[in-house]
Amino acid sequence: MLNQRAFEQQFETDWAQLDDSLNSLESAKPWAKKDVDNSKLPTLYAALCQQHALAISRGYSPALTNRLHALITRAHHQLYKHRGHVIQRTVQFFGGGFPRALREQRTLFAISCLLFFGTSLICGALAAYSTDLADLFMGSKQRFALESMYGPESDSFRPEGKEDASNLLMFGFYIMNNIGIDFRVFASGILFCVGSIFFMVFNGIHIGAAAGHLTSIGYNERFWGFVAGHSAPELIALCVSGTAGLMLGMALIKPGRQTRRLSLMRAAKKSVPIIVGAGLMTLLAAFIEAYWSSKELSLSIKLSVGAVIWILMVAYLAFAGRNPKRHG
Amino acid sequence: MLQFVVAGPVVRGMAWLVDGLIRLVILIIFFIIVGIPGGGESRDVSASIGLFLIAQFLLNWFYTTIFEAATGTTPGKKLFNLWVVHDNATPITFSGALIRNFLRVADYLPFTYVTGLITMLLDTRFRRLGDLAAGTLVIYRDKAPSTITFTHELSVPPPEWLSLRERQAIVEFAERSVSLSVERQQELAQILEHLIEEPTPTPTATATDSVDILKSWAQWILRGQADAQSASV
Repeated sequence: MLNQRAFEQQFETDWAQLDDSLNSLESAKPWAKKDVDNSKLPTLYAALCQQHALAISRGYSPALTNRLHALITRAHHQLYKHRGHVIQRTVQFFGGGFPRALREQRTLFAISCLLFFGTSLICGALAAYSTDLADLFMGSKQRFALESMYGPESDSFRPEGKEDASNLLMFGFYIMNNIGIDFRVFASGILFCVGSIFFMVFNGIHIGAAAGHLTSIGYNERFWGFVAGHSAPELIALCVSGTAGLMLGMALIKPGRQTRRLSLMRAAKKSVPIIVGAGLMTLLAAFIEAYWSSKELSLSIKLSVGAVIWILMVAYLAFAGRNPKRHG
Repeated sequence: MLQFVVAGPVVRGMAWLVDGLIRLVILIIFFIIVGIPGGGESRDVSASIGLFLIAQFLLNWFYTTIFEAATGTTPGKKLFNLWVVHDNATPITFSGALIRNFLRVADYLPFTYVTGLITMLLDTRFRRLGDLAAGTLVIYRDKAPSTITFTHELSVPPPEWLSLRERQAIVEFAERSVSLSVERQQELAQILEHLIEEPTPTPTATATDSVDILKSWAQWILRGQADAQSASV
């Protein structure tokens, strides 16, 4: 058996070489062009793993085995680093990755839409039927606030003279509030779906009641004119994040033939493009809401633009990224 | 085989507090920068508030996500020598970072990470819900291996009946002795004294001699005979 000193001498140059190329990889800037030859890295890494195992089984000193372990960790980290071109991945994501991932979960997406649009339609109808019911759903204080905001005399969301600045303020607010809601709907789904369902139903009740009540008292011009433009991306995105949340919960409720942990891990991985897509849709909605919805234009223009956005949005989610060969 | 030490709730909690402080400082600095040009005019104030809200949103949801995806750790974690890896020790991906950090919402419930703490204590590897879903671990980064190497002027072959474990113990003792006081070395050497069966050659047998003997054995185990001879000539 080789004693430790001889062992060290035999492989010292390999270790030094590996250390050199790791140093250059670790200090390299991601945008800089790589001109170091790393072709030997995998071979050296494999050999190093074997030498480390040998050193342990021969009972060489901890100073040596620890040193080799640290070197292995660094090489492992470099070898298994995830690389990808950012622009290429972004194009793939929008061009098909996101809608495909969502279509794969069509059942959960349907349930999510049913939860949200179902409750909002029911509550909208009830709130339109009676103001008492509207108060039950959102409280009279909230109702008065809505009435004064969308009333014919109000200009509370369009302060004169400082339009650009307050648009930016509202943009920031919509981003923080609405995208935050999406992410919360998603994360709370891990509590066996309960959190997602709660948030979806809660928002459905609130939004439905507001829409129903304002329509019934005839504030159509201001209310529908304001919400038409951004409603499609915002409401669909809420259902999309609900879908991602339900995925997490269902993975725990119905893991199938795998452990709950494994099932959760797989579902979480699949849910990432969906929740990222929902966040970006809500970002788009926030932009429309801040810079287009507050513009003073006739109701018919606003409604037709809103309708076009709805059609584009649905068409994108339904058709983008389909394989033409497979679907005839 | 790669082995790591996973980080427990206390050190991770402290790292989280440090990150919280850093975020607060960033937000205050940002507030001063965008707040000052606004001055008295209400038009600019509402624009600054808008920017401030966006900054707050980004810090809330993406501070840890972006840091972990880009560097494998956050400034707070780095301070405590922690980093985040997937459970096969590969570097964390963007989607892994996103899952484990977005699920903080669930781990936080009902307040201050109670759910996360309970999950961590139930798990053998201290994983909170976000870690379980993302398949990630928070581990201690390997310390840079020490450059101090042990050498001893004498090289004596140890008795042949020593087992591998005993030889390792002797080598480990010798390497640690570099950073130990003489008294501590003597104390530790006493534990291994039963291995020294022959009476020591010098009449005044003291603990220092067992330290010496053990070190000379370690020298032989590590470097062999030839090397020691050339060194002693």
